[in-house]
Amino acid sequence: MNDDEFRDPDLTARLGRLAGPMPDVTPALNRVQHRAVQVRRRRAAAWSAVGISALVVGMFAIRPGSAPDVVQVGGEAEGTSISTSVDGSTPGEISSSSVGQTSIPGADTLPGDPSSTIAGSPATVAGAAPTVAGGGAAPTNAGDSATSVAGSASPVTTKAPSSTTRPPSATTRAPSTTAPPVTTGAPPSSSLPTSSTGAPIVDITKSQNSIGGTITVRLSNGALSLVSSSAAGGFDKEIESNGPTEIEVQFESSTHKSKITARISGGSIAFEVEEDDKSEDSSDTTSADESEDSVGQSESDD
Amino acid sequence: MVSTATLQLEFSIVHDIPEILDVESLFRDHYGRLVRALTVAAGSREAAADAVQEAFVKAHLRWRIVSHYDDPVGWIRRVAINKLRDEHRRSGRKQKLVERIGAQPERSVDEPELDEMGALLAGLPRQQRLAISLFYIEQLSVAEVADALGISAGAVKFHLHQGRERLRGTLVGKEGQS
Repeated sequence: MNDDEFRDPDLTARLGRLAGPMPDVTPALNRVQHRAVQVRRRRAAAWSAVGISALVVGMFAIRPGSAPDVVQVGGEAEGTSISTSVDGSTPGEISSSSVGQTSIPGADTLPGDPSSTIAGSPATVAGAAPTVAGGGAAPTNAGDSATSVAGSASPVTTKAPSSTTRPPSATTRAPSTTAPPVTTGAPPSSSLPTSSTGAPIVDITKSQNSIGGTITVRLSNGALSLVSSSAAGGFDKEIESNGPTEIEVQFESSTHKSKITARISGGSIAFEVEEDDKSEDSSDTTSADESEDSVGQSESDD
Repeated sequence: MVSTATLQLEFSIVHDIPEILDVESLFRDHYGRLVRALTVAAGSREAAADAVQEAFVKAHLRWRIVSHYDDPVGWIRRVAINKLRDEHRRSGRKQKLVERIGAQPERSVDEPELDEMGALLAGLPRQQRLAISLFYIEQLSVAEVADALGISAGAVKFHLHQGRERLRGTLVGKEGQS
């Protein structure tokens, strides 16, 4: 391609005068470099903000769902039971009796339940929980096993299971290593480092039958709610308590009275059924802990 | 006020040294010629300088890619020309708006009055002005001008021919009159 036919020195000179002198390069170069640095910093800041946002969103997304809701305490197949002293004034010890599985809430204080105390990671629970007497009132930090697990040995909030009386609903019931298996009253439930109300991280719905009727209870976000209740023929239904920490439904006929009580225990629902035959004027209370992960009946150490 | 040395140091932290040298040498070699050429095309040295600097900033930011191009300067030139075109469109819209509201267009204080050659150039189509400025000021070949403008070599020749004829004809006519 021959470009010479278009070359014109005169026109080039005229246009050159119009174009002016060569510009100063150094200040322009500094300006360009400065602008490039500014743009890169802005981009880096923007990416940092995006990364932090993603991290925060990820943490919130992962927290309730990914935490193990069922852990094996002690890491053994049979598990290791965690016991407390009966009077709750001294921390118990970890025994080797069978525990089964214990439900542990994910990581945090559950919404709507300010008294909930959340346990830390399973490792923290297994490794550092000399006592399961959870503080009943004050929320504690997640992961702080010294506070959330063993921090409170208050006898006010820690109560051993009784064979005839029910423990307070808002406090943690501690299993006894020496008490015989209860046949009446609430079964000893795990008060492993979970919330004081045994707040679970998943929804649980369970039903309980009695002579007088049946109730279905749901445990969601650490709160109990009565899903349904139906009285048997000849029985009248009366809802004595409707959550969030306790559900109590009474079925009564002319000759019999059944009372089903549901509470949160070890992250699950524990039922207690009282059957009262009026004609015999005797009371027979049986417990039915539907929780698979309850600490179960206490056994002595081997 | 940040000193040049500080800027250089800051820049050397953000960028690696070879990158600085490459972009810098490219800038020193081509910035002046590009600005002069686009000054003729745009009729404004400020607009031309802004466009070229903007193109070099872009080259800085993506130098790892641009440096592997066959002709990094050609890429920078095209970016600068596109910037000029965008600016021209913006100023055209602004001019229409000014005309619509009936106001007098503002003239910058430091903007020099166009001389005779500038006035003649301003009368040429934009593509012709660009072709002429790149060919005569930046001393590019027809093929390079075609590449910079994204048109065929034949179209460049046409623009050069037409533009030169109009410029020379007008200039010769005016010289004859005088």
